[in-house]
Amino acid sequence: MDNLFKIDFRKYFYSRTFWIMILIYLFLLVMLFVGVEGFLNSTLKNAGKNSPAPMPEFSLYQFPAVWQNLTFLGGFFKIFLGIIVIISVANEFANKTIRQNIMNGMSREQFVFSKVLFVFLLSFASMLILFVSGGFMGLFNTKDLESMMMFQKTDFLGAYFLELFTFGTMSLLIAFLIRKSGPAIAMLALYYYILEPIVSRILPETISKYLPVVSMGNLIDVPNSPLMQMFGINFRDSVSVPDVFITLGWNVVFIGLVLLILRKQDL
Amino acid sequence: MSVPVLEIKNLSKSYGRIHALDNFSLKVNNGEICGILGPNGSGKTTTLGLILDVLKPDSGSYSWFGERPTHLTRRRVGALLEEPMFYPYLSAVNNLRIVADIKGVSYNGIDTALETVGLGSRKTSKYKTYSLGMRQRLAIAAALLGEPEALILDEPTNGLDPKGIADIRDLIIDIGKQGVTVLLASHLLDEVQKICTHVVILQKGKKLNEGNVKEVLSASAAFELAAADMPALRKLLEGTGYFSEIKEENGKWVCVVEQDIDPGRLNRLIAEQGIYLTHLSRRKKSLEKYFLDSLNAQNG
Repeated sequence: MDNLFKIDFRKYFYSRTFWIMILIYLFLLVMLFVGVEGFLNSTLKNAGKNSPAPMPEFSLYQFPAVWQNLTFLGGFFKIFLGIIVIISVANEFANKTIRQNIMNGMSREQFVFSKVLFVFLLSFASMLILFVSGGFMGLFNTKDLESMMMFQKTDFLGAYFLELFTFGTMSLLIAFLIRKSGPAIAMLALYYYILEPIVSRILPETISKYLPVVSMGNLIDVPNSPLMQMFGINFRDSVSVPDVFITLGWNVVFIGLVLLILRKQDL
Repeated sequence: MSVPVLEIKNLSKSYGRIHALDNFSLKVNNGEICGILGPNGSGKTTTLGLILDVLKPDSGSYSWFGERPTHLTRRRVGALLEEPMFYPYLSAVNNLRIVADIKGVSYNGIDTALETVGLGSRKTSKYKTYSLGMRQRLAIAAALLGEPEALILDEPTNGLDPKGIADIRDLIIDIGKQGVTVLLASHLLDEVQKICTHVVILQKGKKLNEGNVKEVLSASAAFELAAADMPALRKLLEGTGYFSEIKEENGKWVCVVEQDIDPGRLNRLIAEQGIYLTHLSRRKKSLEKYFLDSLNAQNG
């Protein structure tokens, strides 16, 4: 286990491609987390000019709502994580280093496990970034700050991690199936943005809620904003427990399929 | 008889309609340097890929060191397959550290391995800056890491300059002398002849022939003979019944023998008949001839 970690660390630490992708991803995340409120409020102000009722100004960063707000928004950026995962697997096929790894004495299961570990670490790092940026923004923006308030509703962080991890293992499956980064990324985007949305609209909701992308998205519902409340719409403000189990189930399926594929195939 | 280092039983592998390997069996005993010889596309690399678990067989089995093959048995084998495969952005040292971590051996052997293949001075350069020959050397260094009990080398002198080829050949012979079992795939007959103790000939995925290189090479030789009176010599030679064929080449009789004869005995025999040789030389059968004969026997 720690050996796999060491091997993977060396694979990524010296890779410029990896760092460029990671830095872009992290930069985008931080920009999103820190800058989104200013963007929203300026949009709302413009919209409010012509509306009969005054648009309420609000802060995304108040504890404890900040966690749901940011994790919900962060979910839109998971495609970047998927791309990083796909490129890291496809490079092993392109450079044939997966062959070298296996013939040097790594088992196929260990190879898969090292990639799952990679997905885990990426998801965990994203969650940490969110925790730190959200924590800072919350501390500066929460009125009537009470102690321990920061840690209320942090289960959204766990849900965010699970959402990213599930998306990551789904990307792993596509990467191991297709092996080439370009086509695999195209497949991931096609499935994520087009195929599953279409299928989920055709199927009745009782079934479509079990689809991977749908269940990932359902973990964290749209945050309630004062604006929505003005219209009397109320969204769920807790993590959806059934979807936690559905996504966990998908993780078992995705990782299981990757193992099955790799166990039987030529490299 | 001790357990063979490698035992392959009836391995078959096809890619679509092409039978890359057809019911192939082989035993490699401890300390042998076994050459797999065959034209391009005969199934050499497929065989090696299968026993390294990089490819999956359609049927058949193999065992390493008498054990069911796992990733742990692979760690006892050093291997170079088809072409060097490393992380382009990593230095030679870092690439070998990954190999060492996978094999579970210390980094101590890395510098020695790099020196052995002549990469010592470039060990911190990134792999992508390496020439083809240097990449091949790094792959050999990776195979040598961790004192493997067996070595698998697929066309190890590919891309090397003449000096490099000679170095690597000496290295393989040296390693063989240390008791490491070597399986070497090559289409270069000369290479196999110089290095190997045993040889297997593959064609279109089938084993045509196998044997001990010394026996193969001395099995049937030819003699070049000349004397002042050539017609008389020919008559005499035909009378002995030793030769299956006698033909003229550059003013000498080239006499093909089916069974080896001691040259001294042959010389005495002729002298006793009053003919004195002005030339006697013995042609050893080359592996090339053996190889081509094997192929012809199959096709004819």
